[in-house]
Amino acid sequence: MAKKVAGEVKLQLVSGQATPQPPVGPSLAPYMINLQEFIKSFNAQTQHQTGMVVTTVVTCYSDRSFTFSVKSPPAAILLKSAAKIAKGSGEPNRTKVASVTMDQIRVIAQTKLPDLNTTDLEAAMRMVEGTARSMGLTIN
Amino acid sequence: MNWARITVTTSQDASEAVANYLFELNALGVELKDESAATARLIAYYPLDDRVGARMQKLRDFLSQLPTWGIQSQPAKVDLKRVESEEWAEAWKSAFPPQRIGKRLLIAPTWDDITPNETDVLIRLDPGMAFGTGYHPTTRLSLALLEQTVKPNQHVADIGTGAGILAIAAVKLGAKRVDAIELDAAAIPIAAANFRTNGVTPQVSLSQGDGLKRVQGTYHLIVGNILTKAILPMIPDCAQHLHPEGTVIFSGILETERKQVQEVLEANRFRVVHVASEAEDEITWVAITAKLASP
Repeated sequence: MAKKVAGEVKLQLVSGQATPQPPVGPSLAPYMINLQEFIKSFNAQTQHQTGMVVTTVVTCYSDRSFTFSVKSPPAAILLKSAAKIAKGSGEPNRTKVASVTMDQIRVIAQTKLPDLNTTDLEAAMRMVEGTARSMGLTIN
Repeated sequence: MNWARITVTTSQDASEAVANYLFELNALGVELKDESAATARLIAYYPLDDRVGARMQKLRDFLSQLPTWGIQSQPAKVDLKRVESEEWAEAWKSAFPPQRIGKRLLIAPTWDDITPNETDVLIRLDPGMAFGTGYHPTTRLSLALLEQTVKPNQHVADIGTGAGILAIAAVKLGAKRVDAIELDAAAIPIAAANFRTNGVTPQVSLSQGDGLKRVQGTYHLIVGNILTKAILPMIPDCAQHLHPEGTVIFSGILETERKQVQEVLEANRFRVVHVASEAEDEITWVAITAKLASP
């Protein structure tokens, strides 16, 4: 049946490690959905990539049922993977931790494009480039 | 424990970099909200302790540096709010009180220790994914009509069983056999678990399928709580799979679609015997009971 959407909540969470603690509890609390069911389902669906941050969108309905989808990983996670590093630089202006190529930036921008507020690949690439620099990555 | 809720309002372009930085500052997760096409709001929580001031300052510094890395960060606003810890793990349960439907049906989550009356027909169902929680008008309408219609030892088909609530109700109201058919593979294990919880697994045949397309038998009752666009093409199939004295119950119909469903029913030898409706959130839902016109 067609149910009325009460709201959508977009979260970046660590795969397989969601708990009722913030941000999950307080962000979903206004919609009064079965929090345990969401946590159980999210952790089960993302357990194969435990530890990696993923973006999930939870759609809450007026009868307090819900669905959720797991989107492409955040750009920072894709950049860390491309640069083969676990963590960005704490002082990105002074300490560079690794480098990525423009080809890698382009691939990451293409991966992210469906989930961004733009259809412009060049704009998406600029966003990914900036994110890379903010993590202490140099771009070759 | 109390929490520091830090909200960063920044450009959409900066949102990924800021979200990553919130994680670098040991957030357990980040909520992202679209303020507008250009502006995003990011919310992260940290234990409310003496490190909060330093985190706020680091965030402000980070935002001020973003333009040097090629990202415009305006409005670059950082807000702090104290949030008291709540029983988030349990609080949502208050939204799911037991509900009575019709004269005898009582729907209650498994965690509720309600004691049913002697005449109650108790259905245990925990709300969850969007396959029918029992808290939607179309489900309530279907259940009320099922209660009026199901007779002992009948064969019933539940098309679009979802979480299985109508199939469970049919068995508990006396049906001998229920074929529960669902198109969405993700709903099948949820329905199966609910059938086990309610002890109706032996009487229910659960299968994945599209309406009555692969069904062979005939039924005393066919019920479908689905969308009108799924109901309409199924109506000719219903006439073929219905016992001559049988009944169909269709729910999930908007009031604005009622006339169209009635016309298709009548064009396929059905006569409408009852129309029930319920309004919620300014939407009026309709459920229709019909029988074959010339048994």
